[in-house]
Amino acid sequence: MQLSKALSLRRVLNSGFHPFQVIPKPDVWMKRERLNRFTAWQYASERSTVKGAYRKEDKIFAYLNMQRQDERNLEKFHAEERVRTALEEHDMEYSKFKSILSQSHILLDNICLSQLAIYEPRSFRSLVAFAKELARQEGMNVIPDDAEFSYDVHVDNKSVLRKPLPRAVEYTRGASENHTNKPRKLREDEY
Amino acid sequence: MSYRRAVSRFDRVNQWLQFSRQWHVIDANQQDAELLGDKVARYLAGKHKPIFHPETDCGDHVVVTNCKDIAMHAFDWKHTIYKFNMEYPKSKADIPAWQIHDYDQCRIAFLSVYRSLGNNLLRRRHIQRLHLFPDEEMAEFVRKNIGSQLRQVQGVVKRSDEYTAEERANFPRVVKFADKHVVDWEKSIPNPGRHVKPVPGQKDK
Repeated sequence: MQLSKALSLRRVLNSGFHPFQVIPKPDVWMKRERLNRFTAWQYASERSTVKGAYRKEDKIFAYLNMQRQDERNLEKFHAEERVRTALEEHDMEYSKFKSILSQSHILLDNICLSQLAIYEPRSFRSLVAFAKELARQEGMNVIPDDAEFSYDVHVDNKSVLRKPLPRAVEYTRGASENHTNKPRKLREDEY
Repeated sequence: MSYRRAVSRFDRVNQWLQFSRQWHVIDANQQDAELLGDKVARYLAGKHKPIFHPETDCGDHVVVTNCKDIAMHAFDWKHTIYKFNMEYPKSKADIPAWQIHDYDQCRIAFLSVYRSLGNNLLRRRHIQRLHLFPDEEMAEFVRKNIGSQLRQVQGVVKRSDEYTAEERANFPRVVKFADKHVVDWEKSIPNPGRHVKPVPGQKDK
């Protein structure tokens, strides 16, 4: 239907529709198809009625949103769990391992470490052996590797260990004014 | 510092093993039921692998032997109450651990593992991979499948009747009795009376 801007009048002459009858509405089929993409596998009124299906679709979108927001946190959580279990295989403590890595300026986060533990177990083991040797030189209590399977490590804690680098500032993604957790103010030296 | 071991092809296979179902064995002799349950549940759910994800089922089989010798702390055999309630009238039963252990020697291990698996949809599947044996006898196919032994959660203490005569003789003694010393258990002890705290300055009688 074409309306004139000024008077909101529809075109009658040479129009595709009958001049005096009610204009038929477009078919709902496409809309229902779009709705059923999400609600076809729900149960009872949520798939058999239109009202229930729209209500369920709203909920499904809310759940998808929640999952998408959780995904980043879950990835970090699982990465840490994986690193912990991988370290447990080699009798190493998580806190000691991380502190040695940060002091020796090895900038691998948990996600990288967990991928190493899964796909490159020998590189991960060499990292653990490195951290164990340094921790031993630092006077921490560590369980040494089995002599038959252990790696040769030649490091000196005095030349390797330094003050850990400052942690990066994290700006959360989202609305420009995120009132739930604001990013901290930058210090002068960080500008 | 140690010798560099030659890299063998077996090292690579060790990683592949993670993706298959391994069979672990653990000896429950003198092991605390709850600690053992936590450890076994961890292996059943596959949480000991770096590839673990809650939506996958990468758990292993665990064989627990010597379930008859499972241990509990202090008076927990008496005070740990297992609650069974089917939500039908008169179906409620609160049974202490020692009675359950008396009825079935593997049941305490089962219950503690099942509790440690947590409340999730996969735990029925996981508990099917638990194999409990009251002693060291097991079916031949189970014994063939076992590929690794788990570290026990507690140290095993030597029983007093397992010490040899020589070890008993060498045991450090606090008191040395005379050769003819006989402890007369039948002899009645005279009542020592109530203890009275001496007043400062009082002379001894």
